[in-house]
Amino acid sequence: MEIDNTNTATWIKSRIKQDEIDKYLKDGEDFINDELIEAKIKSNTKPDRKTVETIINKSLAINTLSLDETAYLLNVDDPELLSLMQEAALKIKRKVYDNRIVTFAPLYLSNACVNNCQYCGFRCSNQEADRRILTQGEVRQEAEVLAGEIGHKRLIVVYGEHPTTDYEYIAETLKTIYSVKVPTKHGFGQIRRANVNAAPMSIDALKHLHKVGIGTYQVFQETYHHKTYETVHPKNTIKGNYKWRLYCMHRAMEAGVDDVGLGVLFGLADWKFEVMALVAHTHELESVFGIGPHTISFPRLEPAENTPFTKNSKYMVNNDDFLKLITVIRLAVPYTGMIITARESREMRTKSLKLGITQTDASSKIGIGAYADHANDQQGNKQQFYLGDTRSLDEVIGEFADLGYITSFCTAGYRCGRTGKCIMDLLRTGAEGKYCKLNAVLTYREWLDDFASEKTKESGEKVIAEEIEEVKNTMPKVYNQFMEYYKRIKDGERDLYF
Amino acid sequence: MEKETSISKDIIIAFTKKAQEIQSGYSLNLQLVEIFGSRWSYVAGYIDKSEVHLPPVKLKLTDKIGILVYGDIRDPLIMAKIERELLELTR
Repeated sequence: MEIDNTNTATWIKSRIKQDEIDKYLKDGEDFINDELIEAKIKSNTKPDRKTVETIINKSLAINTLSLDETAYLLNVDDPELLSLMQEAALKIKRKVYDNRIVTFAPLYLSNACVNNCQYCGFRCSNQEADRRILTQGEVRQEAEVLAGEIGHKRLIVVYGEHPTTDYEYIAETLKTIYSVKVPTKHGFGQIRRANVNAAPMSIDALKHLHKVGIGTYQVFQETYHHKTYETVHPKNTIKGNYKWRLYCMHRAMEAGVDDVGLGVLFGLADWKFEVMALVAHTHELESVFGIGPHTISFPRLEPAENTPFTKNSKYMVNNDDFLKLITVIRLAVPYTGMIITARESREMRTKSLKLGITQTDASSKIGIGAYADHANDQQGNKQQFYLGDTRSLDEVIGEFADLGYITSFCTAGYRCGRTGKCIMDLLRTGAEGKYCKLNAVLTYREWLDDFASEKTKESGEKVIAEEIEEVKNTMPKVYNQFMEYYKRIKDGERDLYF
Repeated sequence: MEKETSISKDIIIAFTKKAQEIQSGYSLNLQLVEIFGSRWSYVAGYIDKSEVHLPPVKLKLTDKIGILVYGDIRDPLIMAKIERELLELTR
């Protein structure tokens, strides 16, 4: 699709709506107080066992931690206390989301971008990037491969910020993706939930996306540290406006999009600061809208083609600190979904499972049009960064099964009113976790029958048998209905859910 | 701050009243949702959030307004009556 740059300058000027920032400010200030965060990290040191245990108990009751409590946990270095925190992280995940791991695929539709972020392979000054925007026909082809050949049912659809891929384009692509239905071995494949990772938008634009059935709206602040943000995002770009980006979730929620995804690109500024800021962002959303983030993501800076910044940052996060920040986020925002992607190595992803991760991707390709091209190798000039784990969905599901995890393709909550404020109580009481188990089994059955290799199917059948036994013992009221759905799916029916 | 919805306050108030009557009369719990394609987005209504429920009956009253009905629904005539009464709210 042709990339039209003729009206870019006018479009950029009209993009930011100052009144849609000002209405949320308090005394003209945004809610990230850098000095306060740094002071709390400095002062909440030498955490003792009793304090840590008290904080952990608060997390186990599925309550968001305060900034002081988060800072205490960030400053824990004692291996015994860290171990307590890690055990609690897994307990929380089991309570809220059962032992299922939801899977999805990234789908990059465009890499034309008007911004010039120093760390990004898509930045507009990177002449070596091969720019492309998919047509609706090409979007359809991508979705058909994802739904019909690999078996994904959930996507995170990614767009650069450009006039050619504004909200109308995004809305059309969502309609295209949702319209795909592909015959599979025993049933059919569909994308049932399309989450969107895109630039901050106005309230009107977000209402438009809400109307076409957007799943989670995901915008990463990249860094909450004001000065660093200024350094890596040139002032003359849309992304250079810190507050426009910071308040996009306010606009989303006001527009009715009540599933929002926060994130930070770890490696731009001090990781402890960023964790604190994510919690501060959560507090702000809870206070204003009664609900915090649906998910939190924590990508680490990875090499990108022709992007020297990615190799030179002094804030790169080592593996131990990375696992620690995952643990602390799990404890600090116990109800949120937590996403680790194929940016990370197999080893790191497997380790993070025990710390409360709830979602991950596989069979991932992040080049534009790479699924339909069936590209096997990574293509630096077409990707935003390089992936660390390129294993197939079948391999990953097989490994998860051998580790005792069931992979879920569930999209039920989104279609049954269990979103936004409604889901908060369900998450806190553990009821949502029960729905998670039921829908994990049903969607897992679909995937095993339509897509699994013999080896993965063998591992999967063991997991399913255990899960069904657990449903029988712990949810007798719904067991008969559940088994009826299960049988119907085995007979080829699709998309049955609780 | 309230979430944006295209369903009018009058309908929400009327629904809440009707849902209470239906709960008393038939032990059914209702939720009002706004429909966006396959997304059924919660607007109002009560359900016991401490336990898991059998899948609700999904009633599409209009292109934008849906109802989730939770509970033991055996009599199709009762269901039809409930649906008619709820449809009246949207007129």
